[in-house]
Amino acid sequence: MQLPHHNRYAHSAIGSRPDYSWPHGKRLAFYVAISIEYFAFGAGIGDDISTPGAPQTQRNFGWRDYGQRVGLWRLLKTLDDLHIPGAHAVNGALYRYRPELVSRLQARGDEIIGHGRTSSEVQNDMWEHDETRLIAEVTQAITAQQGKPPSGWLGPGFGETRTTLDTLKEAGYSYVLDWPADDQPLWLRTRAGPILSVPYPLELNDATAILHRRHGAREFADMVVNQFDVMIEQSEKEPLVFALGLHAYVAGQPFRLHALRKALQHCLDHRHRDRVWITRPGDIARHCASLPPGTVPQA
Amino acid sequence: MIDRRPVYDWPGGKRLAFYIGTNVEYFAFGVGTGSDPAFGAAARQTQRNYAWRDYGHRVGIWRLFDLLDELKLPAAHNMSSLICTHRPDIVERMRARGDEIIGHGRTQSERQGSMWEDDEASMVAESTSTIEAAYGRRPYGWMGPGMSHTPVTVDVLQEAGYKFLMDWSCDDQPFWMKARAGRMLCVPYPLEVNDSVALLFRQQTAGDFADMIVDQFDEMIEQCVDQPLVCTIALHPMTMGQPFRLGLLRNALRHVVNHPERDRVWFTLPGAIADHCASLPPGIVPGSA
Repeated sequence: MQLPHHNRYAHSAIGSRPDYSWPHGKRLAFYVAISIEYFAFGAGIGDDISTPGAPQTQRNFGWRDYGQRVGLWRLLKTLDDLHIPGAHAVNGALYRYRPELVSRLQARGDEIIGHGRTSSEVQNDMWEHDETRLIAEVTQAITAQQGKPPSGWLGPGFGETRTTLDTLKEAGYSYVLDWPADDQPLWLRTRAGPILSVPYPLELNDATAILHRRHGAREFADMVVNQFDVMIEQSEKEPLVFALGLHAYVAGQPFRLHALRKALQHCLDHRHRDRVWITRPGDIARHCASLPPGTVPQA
Repeated sequence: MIDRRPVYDWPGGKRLAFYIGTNVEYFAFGVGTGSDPAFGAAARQTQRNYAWRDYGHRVGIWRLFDLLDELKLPAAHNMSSLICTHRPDIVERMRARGDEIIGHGRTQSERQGSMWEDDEASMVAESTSTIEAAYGRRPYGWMGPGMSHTPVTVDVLQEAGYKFLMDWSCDDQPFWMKARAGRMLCVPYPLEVNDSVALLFRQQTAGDFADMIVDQFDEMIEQCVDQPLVCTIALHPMTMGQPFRLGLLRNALRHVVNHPERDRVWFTLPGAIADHCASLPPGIVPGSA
């Protein structure tokens, strides 16, 4: 029986692939990505802390708005204190509605990852024409501010259509974060040539773990510690990517930040810290693109 | 952006305003809305969940009063005005403690957010005058039942004489909101460090919630060195008044009141926070310039 298939990449099992290292012989690439999202008021979709899928209200809008007013700045200070570079999945609408916020990100020199127009919508059901326009609009807004286009993309809610990868490649993107299928980067096939999939977590992600699965703050911090402790051992055999996905209105709450900081400190104080490359997804993608063909799993 | 605002102090040079907000709510029997420990918001109204909530009036709130007395903590009560009519003994104890009453609608069996403006204005007026008559003081802070707003709630409250509201949970500092005939202060009140959301909707355990209180306080006691903040713990008597939760709550609140940096803390009430903010020069509190 022939089942529907994405036709984007071939199967490949970890342990059967060519070995390589990250720059300077490092084995575990480590990055933290913060999602910074702008929401319509009282319309579209958006997270709710008590009931996933709840209608849009002033209550859940206000709760999410905490991220821009307070949470983001707490997270950035924490990353600075720990010397972790910033990489942010940013809704394009922030360039219009929160110019001071994006100026501060630019002044920091952080990596900006395209993240749709607004997290009040998902791309999944868009016509190709509309999605192309959406991607162009977001790319243009980021480029106008940053002076250069973003190289990576994450759809709101990881949302893709059947042609998103093609459109992104044609729009000049070199990697995507939408396919949580591996702990190593892999090449995806598009009609315009390969685009890299960089690992980004669906599980080690405060939105999934805390909002949808309703884990406590300390449970989530335990997930970070356990993920890191296992991967730093696994990375002896193959180069891996440890990625942590955070949202300003979730992880930026004081009680969560308190537990999360301890978890991140654990990672940074690990006895095998010398195996770790503290980096950003764009740097991971650039490194993979520089490796000889056949090193990173082919499409 | 919290780290780019003018810095100020609470009275006495304190940096962390801390208050306990309870929710003392009156329910219709068998109709309207009301929480349920097993089924959350999806539950139908039954004698089972009515009785479970009524535990809060018969036992839970009295345990909380005793605990707060023991720890010498004042409290603000988001209170359905029908409590004045049907549970005067509870109002009497609040008065004896010198607590603050926050307007919280007539009953938790209805939601403010779906009312016509005319009905909303009359509901606000009715609940305000009932509390004023019973308590001897007119409330000037408001939290809507279920933290729900209509598009004109801020306007209706400002026109009814309210000075602050607590429905937005979007900041750790107070800020001014626009109303069509003036302005309204938003005082921080937690949607997350809130036993209703954490325990009933998110189904976390009492231990998780006690840890949240401790971690929230421990983080904010450090953050407040850079700017004045508000740390609020939201409680419901039918939830935290249950004995198995009460012991853990006591431990968490003891941690707060015995913290080595407690000299940074202003143990206070939301009305006093609002009064202080209203007394500051324009340009200090966001939205006041």
